[in-house]
Amino acid sequence: MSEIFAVWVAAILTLMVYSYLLADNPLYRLAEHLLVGSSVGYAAVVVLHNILRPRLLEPLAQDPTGNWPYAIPLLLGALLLAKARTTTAWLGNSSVAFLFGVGAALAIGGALLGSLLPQIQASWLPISPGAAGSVEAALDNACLVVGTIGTLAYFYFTVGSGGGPRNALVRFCAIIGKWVMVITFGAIFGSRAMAYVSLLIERVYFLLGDWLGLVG
Amino acid sequence: LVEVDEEGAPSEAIGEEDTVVEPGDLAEGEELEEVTEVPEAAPADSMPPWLQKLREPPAEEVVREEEGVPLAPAELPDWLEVPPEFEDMMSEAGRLAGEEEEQEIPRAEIPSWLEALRPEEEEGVVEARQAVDSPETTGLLKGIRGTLGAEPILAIPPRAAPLPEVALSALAYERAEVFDSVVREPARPSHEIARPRRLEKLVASTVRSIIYLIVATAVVVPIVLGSGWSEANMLVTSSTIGMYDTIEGLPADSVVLVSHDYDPGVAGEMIPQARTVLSHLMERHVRLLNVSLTPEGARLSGQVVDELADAYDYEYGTNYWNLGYVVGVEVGPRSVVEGLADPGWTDFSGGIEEISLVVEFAGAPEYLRLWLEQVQGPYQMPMVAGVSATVDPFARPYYGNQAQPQLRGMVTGLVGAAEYERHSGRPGPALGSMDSQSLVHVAIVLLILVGNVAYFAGRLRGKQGR
Repeated sequence: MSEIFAVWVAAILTLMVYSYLLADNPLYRLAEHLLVGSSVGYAAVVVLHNILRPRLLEPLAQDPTGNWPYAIPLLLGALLLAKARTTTAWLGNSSVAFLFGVGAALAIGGALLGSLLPQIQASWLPISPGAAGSVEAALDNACLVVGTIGTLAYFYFTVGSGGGPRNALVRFCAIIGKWVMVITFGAIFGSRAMAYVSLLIERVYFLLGDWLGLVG
Repeated sequence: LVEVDEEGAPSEAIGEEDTVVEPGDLAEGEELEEVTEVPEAAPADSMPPWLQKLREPPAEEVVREEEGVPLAPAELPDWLEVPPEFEDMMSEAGRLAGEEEEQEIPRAEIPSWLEALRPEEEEGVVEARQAVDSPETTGLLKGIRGTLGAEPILAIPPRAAPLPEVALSALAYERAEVFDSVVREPARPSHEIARPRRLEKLVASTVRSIIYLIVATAVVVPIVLGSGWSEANMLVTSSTIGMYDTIEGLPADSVVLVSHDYDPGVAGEMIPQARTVLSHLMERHVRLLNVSLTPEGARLSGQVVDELADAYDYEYGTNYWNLGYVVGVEVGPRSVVEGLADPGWTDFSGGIEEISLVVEFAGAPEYLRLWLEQVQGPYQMPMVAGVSATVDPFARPYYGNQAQPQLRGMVTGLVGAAEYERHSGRPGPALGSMDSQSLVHVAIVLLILVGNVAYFAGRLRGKQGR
């Protein structure tokens, strides 16, 4: 019974969202607000039940002496609440500093090891058919190398306005980089359109199958 | 002054000689300057006292002053009179000052290098200064010196410094002209801006409705009819095969960390992926550690995992574990792999060294990046990913890295899920929806073509009309 009720609620909310296709209307806004409100409420409950209670409050309550280090994050978290008022906001500065310091250190280290260095390494590619293995692979590599250099050149803003072979070369590479980016943005847009079509299909499957029972 | 009566209306008519003569009032051939020429200065008694003080003194008085004729001493106020007790002191000071003046002071010679630095007075400035010093020649202020000669100063432009030579391309000039024309275009009130007429609105809404109808038909008809064309003809990409082969190569009982980082907004793509990949993993009898960097991902994946666990006889605590939600920032993935050994956190008794593969389902690029940067890179852990179609362009460089395999396999969107279903021989909802996906893509391509043809035809008609 509860499953049928949930399906009906989901179907009605789906139709309320699609009513935006006709025009902006109160039903669409109601569904939108319900989504935002329920998402925030659900996230708060998950944080409380999955993180705060089992990993912080319960260990402290069960063995305060043995688990005294847990009091440090509890204190730092409590100090963050002081940020709500301007007069007491300074109390939360140390918590924010801790969060940003740890976050920045992990982000920089991770970006170096996980993205920057491997991707620089990935752009050193052979562009001769013999070294690449085939003509197709060599062309693929050449496109990648030229596209990378061109995109970097596009963001080289300190190139002079005068003539000279250096400036001409940078400007030429920048033109290539611009077109590489245009093609990339087109691919991103196309992928996004494809993703939305997939979501539409999933909803139609739900409406025709789970709600109306027309398809198995 | 005009006298005003009780009702505020002027009680005296303004004289004709006081009216301002407009150019339109002139007779044909009559010059404005002649009409507006100010008559000779009014008699002195008709001028206000403050103007009489400023008036240029007669020529005889000026000559007398220049010849040193002593003027009659003016009467000083009492407070400026020198008191008798200071008269001796003042006379002594005056005598000393006179002696100093009598001593001949040699005129200092300006060295040539300093003389070379003397600024040359510009022509316009000199003219402006002369204009200020000379007496007024017309109007009520005629004969008065020291008035502000605003007109000559404003009229004489400052001497402009020569502009440096800048080499600009024809395109830059063209853009500058466009900018100039836009800036010069006068602002129009909103009511003058053309609004679409009712017929145009009706046509636009009709066209939009037709597009909706075409897309809806392309989605619904294959689902209802169930052609199965894609199931028989679909090609499987190398990235999907790479993911399948990586999972297929896992030994039984190995531990796989699966992260479900998506929300309901992309669940339509991600759930079919998770379902088919988790089915394959459970077929391989690997142990699963499920985690999520989004609060909703934990719940959405929990439904799929529980459902498949029933189907494959997986037991919680023995074959699979749910770590739940972990904060989706840099410390989240790092704390998962480093906190596995913490006995208080999860029932899983093992460390990071036991993990054979990381499977990431990313609904947004940042989640994929977090796992790559915080786990795959630092720990050199094998990793595959299922990503939303939106994430694919951001994830592709990590899969295509020939120097260092960062992603050993990748499935993209609902299409990737369908490819995986087909390659693994387990047809599911993703493969069944591919006919709709293909038909919608064909419809979108056709609509784009029609739209472009209509647009260029309209432009051509506009050019011909002009």
